[in-house]
Amino acid sequence: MFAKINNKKGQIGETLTWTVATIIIIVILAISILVVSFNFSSKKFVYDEHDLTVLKSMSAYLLTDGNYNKLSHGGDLETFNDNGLATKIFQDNYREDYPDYNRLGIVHDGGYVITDYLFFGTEEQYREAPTSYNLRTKEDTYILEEIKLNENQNFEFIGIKRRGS
Amino acid sequence: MKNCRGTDKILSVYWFAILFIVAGAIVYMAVLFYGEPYDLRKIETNLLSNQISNCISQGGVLKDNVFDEERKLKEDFDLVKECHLNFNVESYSNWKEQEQYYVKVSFYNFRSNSFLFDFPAVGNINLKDTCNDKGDNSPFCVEKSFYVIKGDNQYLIKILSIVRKTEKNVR
Repeated sequence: MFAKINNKKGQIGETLTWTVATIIIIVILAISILVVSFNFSSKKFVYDEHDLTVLKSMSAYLLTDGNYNKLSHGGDLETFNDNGLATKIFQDNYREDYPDYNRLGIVHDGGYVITDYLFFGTEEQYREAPTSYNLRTKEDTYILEEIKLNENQNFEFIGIKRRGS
Repeated sequence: MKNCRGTDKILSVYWFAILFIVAGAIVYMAVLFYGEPYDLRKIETNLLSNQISNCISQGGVLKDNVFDEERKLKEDFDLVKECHLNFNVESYSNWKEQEQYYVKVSFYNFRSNSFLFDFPAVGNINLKDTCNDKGDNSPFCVEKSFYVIKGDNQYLIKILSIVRKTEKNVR
């Protein structure tokens, strides 16, 4: 009699254990499916990190009014932008394409030292100073175009468009 | 002894059920992840813009092929022939009957911002009207512009590239 009751108790205990285990398995699976559907069901875009039209504009800018010679011999962008040419080309023209960050600059030593730049954006955007490594999502567009001015200096443009901007 | 065998059988049925549930969930997640197509139209439109910009300019200067004998810009410039564009598409849906591309190149005077002229547009002009439509069935439109010079003249060139192909890129 006691043996039968003990056996039943054991069976109930085992059934409970498996029921709880099943519920846990199903909950974990449901959470995984939810995470996958929320993160990946949106449109998948593939972006590249170069914009040939920006590079062409940069080349044309350097060829205008001898800007290449002036900049490669220590001139600064702000002085040459007195006529507003750089602003007109790189701000007015690419504001819609890269509304979240838009900077033209001269960098030294592979980009570690920025000596001179024209920033086309708000103060808040400037403070944030994003790089390709701290973008919010993979769907943000980050482009970096560079033209070598001389052995140490590069003329570069950085543009960022965040997802949904 | 008989009881034990019964419990074992129930347990193995239970394990099979769990196995199928887990496998089913993994398959479902894989389908969710890989089943959504990649939208490659942005790359296609960029390729079109790049091809055209390379065809009409080099190193920031307009190429000679866009000028006629009198050194005037060719207003009848044949984009398809000169830029080696190929708008052929695979036999899918009604793509053969309805062109899936549209390209227009416009010239502006950079200093005065005034419109000069368009090269003859190529492709399906109806796509242009649906550019601003919101929804998954609208075509992908990109307008790229760049600054270019020739001698003392400064131009702004705008290239509008449109790719439809919604059936394969959007679900």
